[in-house]
Amino acid sequence: MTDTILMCSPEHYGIKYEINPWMDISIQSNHEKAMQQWQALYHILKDDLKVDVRLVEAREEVPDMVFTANAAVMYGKTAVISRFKYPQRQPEEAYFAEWFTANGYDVVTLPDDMAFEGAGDALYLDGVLYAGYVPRTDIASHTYISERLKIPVISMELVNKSFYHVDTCFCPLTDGYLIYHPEAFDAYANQVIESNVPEEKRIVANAEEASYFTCNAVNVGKTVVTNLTTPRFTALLKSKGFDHIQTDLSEYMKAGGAAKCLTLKI
Amino acid sequence: MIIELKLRGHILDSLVLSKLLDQIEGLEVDCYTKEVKIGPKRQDLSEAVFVIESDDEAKIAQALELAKKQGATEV
Repeated sequence: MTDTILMCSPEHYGIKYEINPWMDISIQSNHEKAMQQWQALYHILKDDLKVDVRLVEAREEVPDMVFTANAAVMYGKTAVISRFKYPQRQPEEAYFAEWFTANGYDVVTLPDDMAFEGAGDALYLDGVLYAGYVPRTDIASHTYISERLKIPVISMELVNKSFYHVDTCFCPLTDGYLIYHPEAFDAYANQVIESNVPEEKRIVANAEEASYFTCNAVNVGKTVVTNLTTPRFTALLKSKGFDHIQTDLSEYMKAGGAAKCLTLKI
Repeated sequence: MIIELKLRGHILDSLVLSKLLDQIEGLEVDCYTKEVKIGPKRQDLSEAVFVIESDDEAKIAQALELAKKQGATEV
């Protein structure tokens, strides 16, 4: 079955505020380079991996709308729309809700006071939603989503400010494999991961690899697409039966994002 | 001061209940579980009611802060 991914053109992307440790408004993104890097990722997905890529219109006042992973978490044809923690990103909620409604999805919204940042903080592994909390998402949203969607939601506390969303340090892959960076999680979350994912299925990104947002990967079948990373990581993926495509996403690292952040599987 | 708190969610699978009780005990605040309801199916939520007790208001405030972070609410 063909994967369908939602992306948003970076025409309005830029570092216009600072809401995570990676952002520094004095270190601006290069617009032309950012456009080229996004196009390269778009073509890898659409042309090389035959993904059905859909586009949501970019809006000028929300430069981070390019990071569609944060639009919603999906459950079949239902989109649970994010409630962004920071006001700078909150206008995105209505734009994404509008897109999902117009494209035939059921839209679920959370209570106003419940922060939740979509597939940036909630990823499926073997039918269970593994969700991060503290930096951007309130744990109460996990309970709310579990009740609304009638699915198990495992809560994992993020303890390293550099990995402010769970998708920056945790990436479920085909056949129950998992890329993750243990130091991003507290001891309890690590215990949960180790209990639920067999050791041979765990692909650990070391500190250097995690700093390149290697865990912020897009998985299509047996192929993994990441920002530029180490030869060690490519070999590790190969040993588990995965092909590895690297593409330079340095302009998006300036905002604390990489391949996964720029996509949402729908 | 005695405060009753409720924690609801996948609190056992996620080890959130264990974590919170460990953290509160680490503050040397008396803490005991009053009731635990385990969700019968994997997707069902569990619920725990627990009590914290201390004469030290600052420690109670710290315990409540920890509890809030883990999603607990006062009963």
